[in-house]
Amino acid sequence: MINVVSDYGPSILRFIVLICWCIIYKKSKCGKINRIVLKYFILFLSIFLIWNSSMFVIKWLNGVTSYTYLVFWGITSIFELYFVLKVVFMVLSSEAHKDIFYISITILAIPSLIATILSFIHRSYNPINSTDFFNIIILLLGTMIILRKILSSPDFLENIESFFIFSGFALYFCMHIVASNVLTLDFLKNWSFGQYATIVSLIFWLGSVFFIWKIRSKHSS
Amino acid sequence: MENQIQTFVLISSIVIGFFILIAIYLVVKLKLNDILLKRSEEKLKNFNETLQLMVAEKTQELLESQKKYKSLYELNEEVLENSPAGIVRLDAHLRISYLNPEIIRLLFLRNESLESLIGEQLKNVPKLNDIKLLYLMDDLINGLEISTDLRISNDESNSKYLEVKGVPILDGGTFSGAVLLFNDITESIIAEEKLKQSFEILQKATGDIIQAMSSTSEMRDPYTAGHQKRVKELAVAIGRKMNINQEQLEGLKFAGIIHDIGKISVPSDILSKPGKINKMEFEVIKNHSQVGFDLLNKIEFPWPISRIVHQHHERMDGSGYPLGLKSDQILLEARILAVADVVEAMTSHRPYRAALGIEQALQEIADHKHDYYDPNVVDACIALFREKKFKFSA
Repeated sequence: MINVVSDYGPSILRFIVLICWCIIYKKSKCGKINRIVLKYFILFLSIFLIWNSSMFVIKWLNGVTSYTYLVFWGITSIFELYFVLKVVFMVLSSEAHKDIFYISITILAIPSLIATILSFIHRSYNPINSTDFFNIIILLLGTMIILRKILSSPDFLENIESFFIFSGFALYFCMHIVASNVLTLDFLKNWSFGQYATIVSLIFWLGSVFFIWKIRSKHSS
Repeated sequence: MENQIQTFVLISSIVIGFFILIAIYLVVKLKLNDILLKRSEEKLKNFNETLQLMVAEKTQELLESQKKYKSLYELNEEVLENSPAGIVRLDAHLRISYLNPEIIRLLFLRNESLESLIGEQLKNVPKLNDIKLLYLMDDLINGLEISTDLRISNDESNSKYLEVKGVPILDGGTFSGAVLLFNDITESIIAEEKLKQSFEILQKATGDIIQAMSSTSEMRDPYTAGHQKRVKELAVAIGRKMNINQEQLEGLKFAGIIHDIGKISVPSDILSKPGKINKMEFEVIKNHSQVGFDLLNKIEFPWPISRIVHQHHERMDGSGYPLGLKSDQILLEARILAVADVVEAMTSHRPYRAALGIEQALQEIADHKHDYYDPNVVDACIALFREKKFKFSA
């Protein structure tokens, strides 16, 4: 039972969360930041869904699974960095410095690319796991900056969806750090913790939908 | 064992996740409350500022309107106090609630003070207790405007005429008071009387002149002496019988007495000719209407005398002279004069024939009731002789 939950739970939950947040995105009439955050969040969920779906399809094909995993890991890692960095730049009102943004994202993306290549060459997940750990720390820091900015902003009510999304991300990244910390917990042994972290985060985002609806209906006037 | 640990970890993670979600929600709620509080404070502050601004504006407006009202009140008071008309304000019970100083002078109320008259009933105020004025108060109470004249005298036998105008004050259709305006019209009354006297003198002079003109023309024709006077008598009697107005009657009187003035242009030989006159002579006689018109048209009378004289030989069917006018084209006075002229002429002696008598004269006008003469005039004339037994003066 626990294995079923571990294997299929995140995918099913992700699909439900995606549907719910698509509805929120449709109904949302909020500011620019909120729209972009919602859009990237939906993209984030969609990429993971495609990843999960592709993994189901090709899990019977020997030898391809690991490559597919590596490719998707690379894509999602870079996308997560792009997403968080983009929003960080937006909330810090540094959108005008587009060149700095592109330089930053390029620098941040290089380790993930190298890790993917190294994992492929050495046929080991260690490079990507180590990079993932550091990436998550960076993402968590970015998320903290975003949350702090949203919380102190006078437009907090307008960006309530973003706040819930990044609160979920904070939870997600925190739990992933715990799950994938090679220094404290053995990765292979505690592999399932990563899956649970995803489930908990998805449940958080699903529950957020209800609270957002409640807040919005209360403050719509 | 490992599965149990994993299940435990999963369930605890989900529970922790829920707790975190609720905690986040509470944080959000607190933050929202804070935001809403700040917004409400801001709104309240703005509202307070707007309110203060509005109060300041309204106070300024109030002060300005108060100032305006005060100046208007002062102006009003000044106008009322210095008005050349006497003004009396009555309340719903016809008690005096205000009166200006001029009223004291107009009503010769030297022994009374303004204050002593306030609150008095109109009927108790000397000079204002005129029965005519008090009678009109009912009209005022019924919401009608009144206008009348009063003659006020004082102890030294000085008198003056006052024109009184009253306007009711209605409050939703109910009488709540009235304003009476008293204007001294003594001078205009005196001027009017003088004008009336002058007019009477002028009218008498006009009459005398016309009489003199009539006598002048009759002096040339002894046979027709007194004809114009008798025609005038009969014409005026017919006019009265037909109820024509006084103005027309006056015109008819003067026109009647000089209607043959044009005959001064006709040679005396023709006028006094005993035999039948020929066509040429008749043409000369016919010209007397035009001559009369030409003479009288130069004088500006208050009545259309020249036109009446001009048309007194016109006939209803257009067969008359000098213009050949028909029915309504002929003045009513001229139509009356035509009948009176014929009747008088036929009942009088002429150099060429004896008097034909009243019966024949009445028969003549009755025979030509529609073609020559106005039927109404003929009926009135016949009625005068038959019913009123009209007789020409000697």
